[in-house]
Amino acid sequence: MSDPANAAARWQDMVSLVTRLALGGIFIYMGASKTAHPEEFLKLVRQYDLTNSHLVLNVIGATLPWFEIFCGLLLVAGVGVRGVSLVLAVILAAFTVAVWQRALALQAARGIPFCAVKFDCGCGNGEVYICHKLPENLGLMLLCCWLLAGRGRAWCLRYGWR
Amino acid sequence: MRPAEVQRILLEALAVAIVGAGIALTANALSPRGLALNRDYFPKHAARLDGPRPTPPPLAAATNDPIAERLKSKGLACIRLEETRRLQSDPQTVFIDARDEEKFEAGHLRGAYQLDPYHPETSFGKVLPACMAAGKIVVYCAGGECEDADTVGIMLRDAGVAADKIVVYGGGMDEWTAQHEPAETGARP
Repeated sequence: MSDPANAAARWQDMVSLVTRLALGGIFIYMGASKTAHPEEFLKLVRQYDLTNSHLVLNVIGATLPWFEIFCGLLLVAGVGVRGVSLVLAVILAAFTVAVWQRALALQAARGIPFCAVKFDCGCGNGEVYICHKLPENLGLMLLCCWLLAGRGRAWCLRYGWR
Repeated sequence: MRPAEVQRILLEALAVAIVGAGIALTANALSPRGLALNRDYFPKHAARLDGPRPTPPPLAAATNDPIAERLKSKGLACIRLEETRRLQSDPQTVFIDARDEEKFEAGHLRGAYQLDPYHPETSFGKVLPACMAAGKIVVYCAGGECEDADTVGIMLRDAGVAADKIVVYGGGMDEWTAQHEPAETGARP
């Protein structure tokens, strides 16, 4: 008979592996779709009115897609998993606030219900309804939190970076 | 979670952020599609003080149109569908499509040149002489909130094209196709 503790550990390892691959794959896909047309992504970043400096805007537009790919690859390979998860959770939280505020502004401008607001948030999936995007981001943040909790460390090239 | 473990995760996250930023900047620099960090892709400055200021056509001035207002703030004049349609038959007018090559080839106004403001080096040298010789220049992109035509208009003005010759078709290609106006496909011969 198998030990219940070992079975639980194997289950956690499997869940963590699937989470890493899914989260990493999503970030690689989203980053790659932006690097194919960086100027389109730059225009979408600009709509958030984050800065008046074109240099800062360009740095965000130029680095964010590649940074997402980098983090996605680390997750898939299982390198620095908890550090990457923390970085991605912070980025996702910032994205979510920005997208939410943009949706509120569009709702006010168009005079439509909040959940009817649909726009290209620059997330890599084209136009999305805000009431789909917010739960999606929340789900991704929960996946980051699972990995951050350090459950399941199997099949990682180097779980800790240092 | 122990304090030492929290500290280790924070340091790991910091390392990921720093290394990732460095790799991202390098990848952008090496990519043929990479952005030029120093370039202002969305110039906002109004008409040059030493040049003639464009006179917006009566249609744009008479309406409370956000597109016309936006163009006016950049020192550019806005024209609408009727005027664009009329200018299509004027041999002295040059049309410039400010969208990318793929969209241009899918459909553009008859006789239009393509000038992508994000990659001007590919066609600016060919478009500028045509603009200098033209009686009027109509720039357009997708229309609506698209500001790429504004950027091309400003680029031409900054390159020495008389400001009063440049107008932007505010409705853009979206309106043109929605109204079933004639369009050409493929690359410009």
